[in-house]
Amino acid sequence: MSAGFLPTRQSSWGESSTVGSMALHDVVLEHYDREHMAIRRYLVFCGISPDLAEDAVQEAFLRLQVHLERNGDRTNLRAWLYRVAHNLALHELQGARHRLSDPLETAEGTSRAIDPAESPEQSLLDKERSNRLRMAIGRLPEVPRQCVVMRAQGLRFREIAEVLGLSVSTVAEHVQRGLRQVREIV
Amino acid sequence: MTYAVHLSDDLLIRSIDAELSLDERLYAEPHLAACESCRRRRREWAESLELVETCVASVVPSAPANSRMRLAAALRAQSDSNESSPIVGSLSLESIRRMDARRVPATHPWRQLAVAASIACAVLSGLALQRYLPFMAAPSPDPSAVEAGAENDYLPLPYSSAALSTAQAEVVRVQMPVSALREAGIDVASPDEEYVDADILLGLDGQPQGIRVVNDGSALN
Repeated sequence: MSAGFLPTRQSSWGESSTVGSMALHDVVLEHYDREHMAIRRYLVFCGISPDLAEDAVQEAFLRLQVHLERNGDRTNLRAWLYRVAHNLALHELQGARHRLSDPLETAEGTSRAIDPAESPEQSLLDKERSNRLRMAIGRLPEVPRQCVVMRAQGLRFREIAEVLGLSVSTVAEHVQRGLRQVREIV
Repeated sequence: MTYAVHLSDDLLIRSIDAELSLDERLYAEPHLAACESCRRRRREWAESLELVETCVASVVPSAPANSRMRLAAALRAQSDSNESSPIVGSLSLESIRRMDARRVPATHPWRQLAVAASIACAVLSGLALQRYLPFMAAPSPDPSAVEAGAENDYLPLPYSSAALSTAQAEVVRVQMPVSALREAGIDVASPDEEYVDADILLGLDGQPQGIRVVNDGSALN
């Protein structure tokens, strides 16, 4: 095949999710282990405080158990989880709690993965570059930022479209717009 | 070969993610194979995506150390509640979420929620059992077993320990549906309220031992 049209990422893990003989809460915990950090990261980039992100994550996985108990659609549980966490954090839970307006403010409360093999100079350069990138992503308008972050975490365009209730082409436009702005800033 | 019209950025980005339709692939693949300019632009988009992926992945959001443990407990409580209580089974998730638990001392809100939901479920099923299946219910503890004082207006729940002592118990405030309380034979003097605050006395085993309605100032029964 020419020009590298091979898929760069695996398909959604939810598609092959089966309960089998496992207890339902073990299945949910398995999903939690696989996805909770990515969802937290997404919420952090949405400007959600770590406390509220924790609440949203806990509630999303509790709802996942109810969803599975009720034999809900399992074709794409990853997108389902993102959608629930997104709606909880951005619409339902934020009423009584404080939501940060600046995603960078939230990102300050996070840490950066450090490669132990890096030299101090390289580490410093990488850190600086990473900070600039993070700031660039944080300064994107809300929807392009959400699209870019979800795409960066391996969600396919149709999954992002499902989470945000947009068309696939609109998501592609937002990702394109977001990436262009990030490139300009960096 | 040079083309007068090049592939759009949207097409290039989606081609990186293998998200083109068959028609789009039939159009884009030969073009890319022959057009150095589009290949270069596609490479640049791929590099941008990789850069952003690396940046996003490098952010490690803070998460409470006991988050997984707390979720596991809440999942089990939710699962047990749904299995053990016919009343709870009919409660929607939304109504469970509306139970506002204020544990003393304060803990994390989601732990409160999980605790409140399981307590309310246990209380409601216990009350229903007491009302509808009195011949099956275990003997209630002697109300005098509850220490005298502010707590002496608690209604003992079936299966609660006869050795209940408020010194060893914990009080959790939850919101209970008025309809469920009335159905269980408990008079609530708040005709217009859908939910009322109630104090639940928890034993050392974490099981609800007694209940009293608090927000309308009336004692139970």
